[in-house]
Amino acid sequence: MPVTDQQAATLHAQLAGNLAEYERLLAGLDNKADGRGYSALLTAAFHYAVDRRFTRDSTLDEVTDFVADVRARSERLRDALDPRVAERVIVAAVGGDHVRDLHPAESNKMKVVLLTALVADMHLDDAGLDEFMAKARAFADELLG
Amino acid sequence: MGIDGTNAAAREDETSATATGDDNDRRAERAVQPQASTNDTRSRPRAETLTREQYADAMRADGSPMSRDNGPDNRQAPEGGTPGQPERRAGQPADHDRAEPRDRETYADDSRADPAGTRHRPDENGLVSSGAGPEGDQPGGLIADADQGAISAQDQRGADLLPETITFENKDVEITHNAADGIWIEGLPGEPPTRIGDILTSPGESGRSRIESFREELTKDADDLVDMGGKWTDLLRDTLGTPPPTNSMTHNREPEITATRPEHGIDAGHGAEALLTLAIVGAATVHKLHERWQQAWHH
Repeated sequence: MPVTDQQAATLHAQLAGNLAEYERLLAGLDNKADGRGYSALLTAAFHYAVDRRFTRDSTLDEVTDFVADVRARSERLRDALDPRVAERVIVAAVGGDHVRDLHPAESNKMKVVLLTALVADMHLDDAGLDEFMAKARAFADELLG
Repeated sequence: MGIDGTNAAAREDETSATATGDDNDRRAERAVQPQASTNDTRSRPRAETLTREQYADAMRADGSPMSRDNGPDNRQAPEGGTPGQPERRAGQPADHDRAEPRDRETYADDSRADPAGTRHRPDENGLVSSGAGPEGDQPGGLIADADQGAISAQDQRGADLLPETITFENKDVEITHNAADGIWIEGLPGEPPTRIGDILTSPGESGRSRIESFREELTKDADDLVDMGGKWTDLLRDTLGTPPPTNSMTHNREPEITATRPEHGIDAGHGAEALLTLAIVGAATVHKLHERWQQAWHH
C-alpha cells in the first residue's frame, strides 16, 4: 500500500514547522494501519535529506559539526540526542545503510529530529518543500512496492 | 547515495515518478525532438540536405572526426598549409593536439587487453573504500583521505591503480588491482579473501540489496512510530526554533506591572502634581501682592 495523503500531509506539516497541524494529523493516523507507510516516508525523507546535505566528499567533521549545531539549539535537544548515536545514524545513512543495533524508538527519534534539522537548514520555500516531499514520497512508495 | 543512486534497477521508474525541474526539462527535450523533426520533413525543407551517411563521409574526407573549419583552432593557415589547420611544429605528430591520439579501434583493443578497463568500482553500492569514492552520484561513505582525485583520474585513463584496502561484507580486503591475483565476484559462496586482484559487483544486485536494507529499516522502525511521534514535538519546536503556540498554557507572558518600566506622556498623577504646584505658587504670589498693597495703603 503506497503512502497516503494524510501520511504525507503529516510529515509535510512537521517539516514546514506547522507543529499544531502536525500533531492534529498525527493523532489521526493509526499505528497499525499507517505505521509502515509513515515509517517508509520518514525513512525515505531522512535518507534523501542526508543525501542532499552530505556528499561523498563530506568529512566526518562536517557530520560532527552538524550534530553539535542541532544539539546546541536547546537543552532538551542536548539531553535527547546522544551525539555518538546521531553521528552513527548519519554516517550510516551517507553510506546508504542504517544502524541495525539501534532501538526503533531511538532510531525514529533520531530520524525525526535530524530530518527536521536538515530540512530547516535547507531554507526551502513552499515549492522547494513540495518538491522535497514529492521525491521522498516517490522513494517511499518504491520501498513499499 | 540517496534516492537517485540507491536503486539502479529501478532508476527509470523512480526518475519518471520523481524528477522535476531540470529532469523534466531534459525529458521534455527528448520527447519533443522526434516530433519536431517529423514536422520538419512534412512542412518545411530540411536545413541539412545530406543524409547521415553522406554527412559522415564528407566529414571523414577532412581526415579528422571534427571539421577543423568549425573548430576552435580555426585560424589563418600558414602559407602552403591546409585552411583551418593549425601550424604544426617540427617533430610533432599530426595528432599531437588530440586528447586521445589512438583511433577508436586501437583504444578498444588496448582497453580490452587491460583488465582494469573491465573493472567495476569495488566501493560502489555499499562497499566503503578508504582510498576512493564511488563514481557519479553513487552513494559513497565519507572520504577519509585525499587520494580520491588521483585514483579517479587513473581509473578514467585505464592506467594501473594503486593497491587499496576496502571494507567488503564487514571485512577488510586488500585490492591489488592486479588481475593475476584473481578476481572475487560478489555473491560467490564462502568468505571473500583478504587479498584479491579485484572485486566485481553487480550494480543491479547491489541496488536491490540496498533497497532491501531500507525496507528492513522501515519495517524495524514502523512499530510505535505513530504513537511515539507526538512525544517529540517539543524537540521539533526547539530544532526549528519556532515559538510555542499562543494558546499554550506554558506561554511566557510579561508581568503586567513592572517597576522598572519607563513612563511616557502625562497621566493623572502628573496632572494633580502640577495643579498643586500651581496653586501653591499662585497663593504665594497673591499673598505677596496683598502685603505690598497693605504697606502702600498705610503710607
